[in-house]
Amino acid sequence: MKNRKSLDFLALLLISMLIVSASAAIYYAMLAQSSATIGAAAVYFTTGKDSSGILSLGTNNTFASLSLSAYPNVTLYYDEAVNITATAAKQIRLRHVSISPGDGNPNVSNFTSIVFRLIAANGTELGNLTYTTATDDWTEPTQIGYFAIGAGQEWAIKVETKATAGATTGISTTIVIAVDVT
Amino acid sequence: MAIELLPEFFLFLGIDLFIALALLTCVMEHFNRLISYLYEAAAVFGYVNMFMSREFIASFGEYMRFSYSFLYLALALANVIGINVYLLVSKKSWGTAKVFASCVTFPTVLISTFFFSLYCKDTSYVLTAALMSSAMILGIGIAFLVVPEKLKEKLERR
Repeated sequence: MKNRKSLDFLALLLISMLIVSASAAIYYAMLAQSSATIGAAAVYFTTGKDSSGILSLGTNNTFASLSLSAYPNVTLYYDEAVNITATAAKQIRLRHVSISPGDGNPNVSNFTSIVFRLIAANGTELGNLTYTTATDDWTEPTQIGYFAIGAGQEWAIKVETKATAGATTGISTTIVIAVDVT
Repeated sequence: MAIELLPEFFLFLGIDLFIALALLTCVMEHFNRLISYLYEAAAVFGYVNMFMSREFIASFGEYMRFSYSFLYLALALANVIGINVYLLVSKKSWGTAKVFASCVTFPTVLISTFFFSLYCKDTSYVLTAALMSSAMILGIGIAFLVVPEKLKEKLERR
């Protein structure tokens, strides 16, 4: 009788362990299932002092398009071409995506340099993406490091453009830059 | 970052309670050996419930998942309390009933209440829980009222 009770208990214990571990595994799997909720972007573009006439912002200010000018043998500065505003503390960086016309195109030689500088709220330059030319080829940057931007802070993107002496008018280039946020 | 409780946590808690009951009823002298296996089957049922919940997580809303998970936990708690009452009334085993109440019934009710208070985000959840608990108490009451006389006598003779 006692033996039967012990066997019963052992059987129940084994089944119990099996059920508990299987249930825990399922619960854990359910916890690990990801979900995505749409929220307002914590970092977005805003107009700067020099944005007038050159900046157009996309919906929700998460996209910015700049129409910049460049003059032969002179550097043109846009101190605040576009600003970056954060509503929460985040880390941001500038990253090169693409440039056109690409290497080998004779139009490239009309440009000397195009520089995008990330300027913090206190005026310090944190990093830059510098595009220079070597005859018909671009020397492209990759990315800058991440920098912490505080909640409510507004940083600037300063742009400098320069074309070669005797550059042909009407030549343009399109640069795509990403602002990575973590 | 704190992890939010899923409604299935109540299912998990209920499974644990049924397993504890299965093992306790197996160890205690007062119960038929079939009872332990019945509780084990109830735990398996909870596991199946949880499995189904995971499979249909996209189609079942959170409110529905909470409803059946809480109902399962309430059933487990009702069984814990039921065993305590059985020990006290039918078996007239005051000592065992007191020990059971302080070591099993009270902690399980306390733990369940704690997790319920952690989970509750909305008044509707409290109302649903209250409604289900009331319905269950009513059901148990009706079951006792309509129990056949012969069974009543048998129970009293015990």
